[in-house]
Amino acid sequence: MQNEYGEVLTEVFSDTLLRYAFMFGDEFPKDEISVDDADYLSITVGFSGERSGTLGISTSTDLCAVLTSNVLGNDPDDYESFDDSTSDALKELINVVCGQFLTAAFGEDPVIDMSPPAVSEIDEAEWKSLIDNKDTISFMIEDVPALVYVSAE
Amino acid sequence: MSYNILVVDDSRTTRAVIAKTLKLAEVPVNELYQAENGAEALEILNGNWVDLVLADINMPVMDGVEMIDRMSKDGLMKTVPVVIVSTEGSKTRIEEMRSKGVRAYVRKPFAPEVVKKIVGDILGDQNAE
Repeated sequence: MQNEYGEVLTEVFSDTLLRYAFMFGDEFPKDEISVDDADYLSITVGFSGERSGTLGISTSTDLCAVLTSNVLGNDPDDYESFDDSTSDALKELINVVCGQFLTAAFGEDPVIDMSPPAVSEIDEAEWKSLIDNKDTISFMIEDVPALVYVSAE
Repeated sequence: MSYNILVVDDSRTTRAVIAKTLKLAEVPVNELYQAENGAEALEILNGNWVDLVLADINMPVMDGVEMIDRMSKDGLMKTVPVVIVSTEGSKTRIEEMRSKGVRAYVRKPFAPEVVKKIVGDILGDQNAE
């Protein structure tokens, strides 16, 4: 069972993905997500102030090029490889998701500061652990799985 | 008449989207300056004439709040209109920005039409002055 913010996060993530990148993210059963030798990464945004916590996304690097081409309206073939420039769109996506989540979950009155998004590579074991975590929400975006999660206090 | 516009955001994707939006909106841009944070933006403002600043709030090195505070202490920079383009949704923060002289607030993710209208309104106002 997801934490108390699961429903809000699901709604905010789907809505932001559509408005930011014109892409659909459908919730997807976790037991159908594969663990293979793909390259995975995590991007997290911390927040602090009247509420504090972390919001993040973990996915395959394959999503980065697709997302970048969609946001900028360019040809996906322009972004064949994963690098700093293609991870930037995913960093901005999760930054915007975090801002939208904070007001959806806690209202518009609290002042909550957000930290810049941090990127890290994760291995298959960490990817598997995130799939097994009850608080992660799984999406399928353009045939690429993505795990989204938040912890807050 | 064409304008010098400064876009301040640590996301290069967002800077590119804003640049595309201005082009699609047919805003007559003479020079489009880009900065990754408030400190870089102040350097550009120090050495160049800028008609409009579009700035994020949450940025490393120097955030948008500090950048606006510093601009307000400079006789010339404080006359440059600033529009905040941010994911921040706190009413308190937005009011704080307005009290510092920010002309408009656009929340991410934004529709290009919103940016187009705000930029048009502000630059149109400048022409009327």
